[in-house]
Amino acid sequence: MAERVFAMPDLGEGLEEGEIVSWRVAEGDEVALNQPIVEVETAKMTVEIPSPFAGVIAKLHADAGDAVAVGAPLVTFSVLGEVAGAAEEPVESSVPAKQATGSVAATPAVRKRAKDLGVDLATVTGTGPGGRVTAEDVERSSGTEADLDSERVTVSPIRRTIARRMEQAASIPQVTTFRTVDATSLEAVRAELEVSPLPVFIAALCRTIAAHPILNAAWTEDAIVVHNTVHAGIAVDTERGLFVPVIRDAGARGVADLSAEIRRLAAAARAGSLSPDEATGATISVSNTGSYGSEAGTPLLNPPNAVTIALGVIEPRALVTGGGAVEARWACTISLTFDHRVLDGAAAGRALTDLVDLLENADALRELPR
Amino acid sequence: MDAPAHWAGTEPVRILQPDGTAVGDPDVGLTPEQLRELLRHMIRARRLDRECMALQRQGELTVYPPFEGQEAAQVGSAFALGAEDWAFPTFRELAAALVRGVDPVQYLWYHRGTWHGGPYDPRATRFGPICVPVATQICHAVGVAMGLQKDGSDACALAYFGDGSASEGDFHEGANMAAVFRVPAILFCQNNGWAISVPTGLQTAGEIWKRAEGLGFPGVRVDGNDVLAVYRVTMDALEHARSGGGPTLIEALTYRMGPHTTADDASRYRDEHEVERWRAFDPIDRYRTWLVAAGHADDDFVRGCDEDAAGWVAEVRAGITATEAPPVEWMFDWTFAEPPSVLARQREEALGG
Amino acid sequence: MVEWTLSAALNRALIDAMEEDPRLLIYGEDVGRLGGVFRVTDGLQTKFGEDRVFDTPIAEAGIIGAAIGLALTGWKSVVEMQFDGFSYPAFEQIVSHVAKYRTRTRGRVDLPIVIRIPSFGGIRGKEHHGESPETYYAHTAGLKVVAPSSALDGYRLLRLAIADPDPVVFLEPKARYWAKEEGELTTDGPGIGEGRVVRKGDSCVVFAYGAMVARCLETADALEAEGLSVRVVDLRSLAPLDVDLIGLSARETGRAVVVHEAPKTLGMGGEVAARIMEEAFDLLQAPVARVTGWDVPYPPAALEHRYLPSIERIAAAIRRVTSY
Repeated sequence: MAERVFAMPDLGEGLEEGEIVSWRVAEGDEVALNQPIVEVETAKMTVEIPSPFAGVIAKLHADAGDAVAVGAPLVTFSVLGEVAGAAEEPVESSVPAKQATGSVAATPAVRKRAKDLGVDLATVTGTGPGGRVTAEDVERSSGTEADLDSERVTVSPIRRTIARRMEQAASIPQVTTFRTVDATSLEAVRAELEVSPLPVFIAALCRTIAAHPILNAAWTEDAIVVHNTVHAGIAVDTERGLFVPVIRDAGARGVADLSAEIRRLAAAARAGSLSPDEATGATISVSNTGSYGSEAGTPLLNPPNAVTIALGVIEPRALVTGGGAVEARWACTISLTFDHRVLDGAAAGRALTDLVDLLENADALRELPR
Repeated sequence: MDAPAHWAGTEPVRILQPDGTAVGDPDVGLTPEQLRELLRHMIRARRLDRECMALQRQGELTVYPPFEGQEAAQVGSAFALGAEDWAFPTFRELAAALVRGVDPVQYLWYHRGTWHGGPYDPRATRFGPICVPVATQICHAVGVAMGLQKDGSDACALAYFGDGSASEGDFHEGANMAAVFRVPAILFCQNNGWAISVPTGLQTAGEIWKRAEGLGFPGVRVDGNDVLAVYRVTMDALEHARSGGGPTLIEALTYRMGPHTTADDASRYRDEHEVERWRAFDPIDRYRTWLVAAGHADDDFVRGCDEDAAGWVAEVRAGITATEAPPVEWMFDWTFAEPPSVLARQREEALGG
Repeated sequence: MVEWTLSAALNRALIDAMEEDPRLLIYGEDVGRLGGVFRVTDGLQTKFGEDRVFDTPIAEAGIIGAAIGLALTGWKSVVEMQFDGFSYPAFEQIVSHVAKYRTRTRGRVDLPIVIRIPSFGGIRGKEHHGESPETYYAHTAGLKVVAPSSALDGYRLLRLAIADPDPVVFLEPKARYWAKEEGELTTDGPGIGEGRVVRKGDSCVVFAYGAMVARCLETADALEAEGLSVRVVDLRSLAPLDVDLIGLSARETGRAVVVHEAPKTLGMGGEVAARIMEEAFDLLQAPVARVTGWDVPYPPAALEHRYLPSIERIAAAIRRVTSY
């Protein structure tokens, strides 16, 4: 025997309740299917309800004269040979309440800009029609008070990209180590070869990498990847921003070739015509900071390269020579920034020592491939 | 003998008197087996009709429009239709639907609020979906008749409608088009005396069957409670249509013994004692009487029909009470052949995606 | 290069469709012998015979109801409602049945019916001859509603509508029946459910359909002189609406105008504006402007020009949104 609850049905098109006129059965009575069990009065008419089950009346849920809402229990039956099932609850979805926006007049686009900049519109004086806050008002308001006096330069997509990469680079643990070079040999040889110092420097760097391959590497989660070929990225300053075009297989090129390639890539970078091959894929980055007079610096890494090496300005400096005397000699400072996850100071120092030794040795420089 | 007011006027075609005696030729071309089949259909139909009233009172159907009293009009006409013929109901033609082989549980989905129109396939059953905007289905039937004509088919389309429907513009438009294009359509009016609370006398000043003459095609009045007469008149109309003669308007006089629907309190506009008087014209009583007297059936057979009906109805009840609400997707899945993206997004939203 | 009027292009579309599908029928009042009051069905009865192209009694509800019955027996229909204002007697059949039949029969019965309706104003017509009924139909779930603005797109849309298994209400801008367009007739191009950009620009976007598209193009051309670069989008498909194009155009320009002949209240402009709000809110620089007919019954010929969106009113709205 299972209990079945029969609820007051909706007897006609949206009625809300029915009033019991009289019961035709009593608790404990056995009833047949469709046997009249109750007379109910609704707003429209009086209706006799036939039993929906064959079984025993277990409970009558209202008395004559009571109003029973549609859906409320009317009669509980004990029905032979049935298993009661569970009714499904309807799932209600609720719409989250919306936040009230302020009462400052501003177009949707201006509101979003303010939100993006973290500007509270209520603090902004609107200069638009009717005191409406304009885009300019918001831009102005997003700086400090002192900056009210400044000019805002729009950020180009390229600069945005560079900025992102710099942020990325700055998050890598990196250290810069410096070495001063007696550049007499370097100056002499480059003059002989009729090139600028940079291609000679890069040729010497490639020779150094051959003995210290860890300079030409990259950190990955699984392993340190040491590249076999040197693709040297060289920093080029253009109107649109800093580019690092790549000299592919720099180690296979002679000094003259390097010189020509550097010129070609620099021109292409400035013209905005670098091909994808030329624009990416460096394994080590080189910056000729001396070209704008910088003595030394802390160049940022160019991820994923483990090393950025900068060549400072070559100019006369007072050096202490072998004999202990102070002389005016051509000199420059090399600044080598390394990814401390890939190299440590000693390894970088050893490599740098070899590089400097090479650069200070005119004969060795002359042996570099032309 | 007293008869319902709307039966006054032209004498209808009649074969069986209300008391079961034959006044016309009861040989309408049916075999004894078929004659017994007519009774079985009518008994089942009435039994189901009464069960549906109970089901509504038990909350299993939302609103139900009973047809008690109209069994002969529906069974007799539906029985005459061939396998290729079409029928278009209003909302009260459950008996006709049964004869045409529509599954009763599927048909009753409409009244359970499970799905509009019932889920049966109108093309497969050749029975239109339940149609509540009265008379609009007449135009659909006429369209089908036009299509059948264009295909050179023998088949016909029959539209059921009531005395109230005959006042609608669509009745006139459909009938006129049927006549002008001379299509194989049968316009079958069950004049049951009432359109909710409005008696036929307030619905029209004339006799409905006569309108056909004005539109240029034949009309006939038949005793709708005489299943043999209804059968014969429908057969005649079908033959007329199949031979290229065009449409026929049949007005079958009958009586709506129950309320308009379960939401209607008929006692507010008619006298229930009067209704009981028209039991004298009951279609099942008279036919059973004749069938037994003519030796085509005996009491055992009749009892058998009652038992068969009881068992069958219990199955329908079980089918209906077990019918659950359809999945929410159904609301979206058939609006178009391919849902446009805007609708597809709404569907996702509705399904909680 | 061939020049087509809208009427001729639609006529061609019907011919091509009739040739392609032997179960296509064309019928309505005066479409057979007369060839239609706007000649859109000119010559079709002679070409395809009375069985397939025929005149009906004046019985709009009967015509649409018959189309349903014909569909049940496998016949496709292109029916004509002679004028926008005369489609209303068929409204019940359209809304209660045409729109619902597929859903009602759980997909078993499709109604490939095209209801062609010469629509909109601008011809100084009599009462009931200048109606814009598009929102009644676009608001009815289960119907597709399209309105071409020009001859070539009219050909395309009518061919697509006829090929569509769903019922399509096809609103023909009668003021543009005789307007010419040069080009090849093709069904290639945007489908039902897609709008199209008919004029590029980025100062603002103007959405329009039907006869108003030409007027918006004219206005946009004139505003070039003021340094405004106005994008014009022909919505062409009112149901389903190309929400993606609406959103994209609104986002790209931040400033939008909607133009339609129908009265302002509860016209397509409201729907477009709501979609813009949903799809482009953060990028809106100005409120969406609607340039529409007034909320009055369509006026007589003498006042028609003061009712329909004029170039001046459209230009004023464009100036307003671009200077907001």
